[in-house]
Amino acid sequence: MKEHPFQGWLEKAANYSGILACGVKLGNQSIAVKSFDESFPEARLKDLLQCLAEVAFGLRNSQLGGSRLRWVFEHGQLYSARRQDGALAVLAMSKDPNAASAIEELFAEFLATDCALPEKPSSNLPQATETGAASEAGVVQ
Amino acid sequence: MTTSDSPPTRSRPSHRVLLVDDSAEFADALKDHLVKKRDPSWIVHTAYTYAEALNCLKTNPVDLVILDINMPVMDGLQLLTMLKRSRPALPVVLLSGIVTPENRDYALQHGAALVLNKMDVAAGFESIYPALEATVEVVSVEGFKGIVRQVGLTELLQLECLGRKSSVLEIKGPNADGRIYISEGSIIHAEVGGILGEKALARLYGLKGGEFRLAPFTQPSRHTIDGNWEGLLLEAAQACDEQAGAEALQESGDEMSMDLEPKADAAQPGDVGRHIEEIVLSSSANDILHEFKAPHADRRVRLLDWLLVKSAVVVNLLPSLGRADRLEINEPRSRVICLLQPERKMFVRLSITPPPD
Repeated sequence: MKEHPFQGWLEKAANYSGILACGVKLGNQSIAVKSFDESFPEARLKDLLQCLAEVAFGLRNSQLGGSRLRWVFEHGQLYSARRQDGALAVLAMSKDPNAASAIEELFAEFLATDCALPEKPSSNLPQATETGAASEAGVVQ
Repeated sequence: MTTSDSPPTRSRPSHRVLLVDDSAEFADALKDHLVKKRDPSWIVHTAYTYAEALNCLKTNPVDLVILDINMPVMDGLQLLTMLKRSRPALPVVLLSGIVTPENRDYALQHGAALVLNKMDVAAGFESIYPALEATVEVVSVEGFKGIVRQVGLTELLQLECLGRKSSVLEIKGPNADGRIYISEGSIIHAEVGGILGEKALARLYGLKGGEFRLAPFTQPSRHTIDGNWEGLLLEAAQACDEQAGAEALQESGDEMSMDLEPKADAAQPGDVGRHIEEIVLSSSANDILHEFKAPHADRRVRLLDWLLVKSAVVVNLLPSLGRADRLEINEPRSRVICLLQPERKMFVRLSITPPPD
C-alpha cells in the first residue's frame, strides 16, 4: 500500500512534547491521523479533520482567510495550517508553554513538504451542505 | 424538617439559613456548629429532602440556602435552577463530596454564590463560617459595593463598559492589589503594584483568585489606556491564557510566588501595529449587543453562531478538550478572534502592521 505523503511528518510529531494528536487531510480528501493520547482516538480524529476542513472552507469563503487557525479550549488547543494545494494539517496540543516552537517547526515543514496534489472538489466536503450551511450562517459573502 | 431554637441574641440582624442535605448527620453537625459554636444570631432550618426544603421556603423567610449537590430524586443542581427561577436574589451555596469542574461550572453559571467541597467543610467547620457570612452580607448591601461573587471579572467589566458607567474596580488577589479605572464605559487606566496600563490590565485579568469590588469613580493620577475595551479584554484574555501554561510549571505548589508577568513570547496587549478594525458582540439569543465599524454585523453574528455549532461538534468528538473558548484566525496581515461561549459571542478583527525595523 502506498504510504501517505505526510506519514513521515505525522510520525515526526511524536517527538515533540505537548502534542496529543495530529492529522492531515489532503486536497483529494484522503485523511491520515496519528494519536499520541488515548483520549484522542484516531477514528474521531478523522471526523475532527473533516469538521476543521469545513470551518477553514467556510472562513475562506467569507474572506476571513483561515490558512492558520488556533482553536482554544478549556484543556487543550487545536492548530491548523492549510497549504496552497488544499492540504490541511491539524495539531492537537496540551496547554504546554513550550509547544509554540514545535507548532511553528512542524507547520513550516508541512508547508514546505514537496508533494503537489491537485485540490479536487470534495464529495465529503459537500458543496450543498457546507456552502449552504455556511451561506445560511452568513459565512459566504 | 427541624429548626434551631436559638433566637437572635444580638442587635445585629440575624441570618436565616436553610440547610438541605439528605445526610442528617452532616446537616445536624453543620447546624450545630453554625448556631452553637459560632453565632447564635444564625437561625438554621434543616431539610433532608427537596420536598422538605420547598415546604420550608414557603413558610419561612430565608437569607441563604445551603444545598448538597448529591441528593436523591432531585439533586442540588436541579434545585438550584428551580430556586434561581423563583428567587433569583436568594444566595445559594452548594456543597459536594466531590466538586467536579463540570458541577462547579454549572453551579456558578446558574447563580450559585459558592461551591464548597464537603470534605473540606467537614474537616474544618471553622472554614465555612466566614464564607457563609460573607455570602449573606453581600446581599444585605445594596448595589455592587460588596464582594461580588456571582459575577466574573469579565462579565463585570463588560457590564460597566456596555452601560457606559464610570467606576473603579478594585481587585485583591493572592499577591496583587490593583485597580481598573472605567470612565463612561472606557477603560482608561489600570495599575497593580508598579505596573501601569495594558500590562497591568492583563495581569489583573489573569489573577486566579481573589476578590473584587466596584468603588465610585475617582480620577486616576494618569490615563494609561486608550483603546476599545472589547479588544483590550480579548487581548488581555489571550495574554493570560498563553501564560497559563507557564504559570502551571512555575507554581510548584507555591501560589504566593506565582509569576503573573506575561512571557516574552506571549501576545502583549497593545503591541505596536495592531489596530482593531471591527467588533461585534452578541448575546446568547444572537441579539447584537454592541458593534464597532461592523457594516455586516448580522453576518458576523450568524458566523459566530455557526462556529459555536462547529465547536460543539469538536467537543462532542473530543470531550477531553473541555469547553470551547475561542477561535483565532491568523493571517500575515490580519487576525480575527471569535469568542465562542454560549452566553456571549464576540467577533474582533484586527489589522497587523509589521513593526518597523
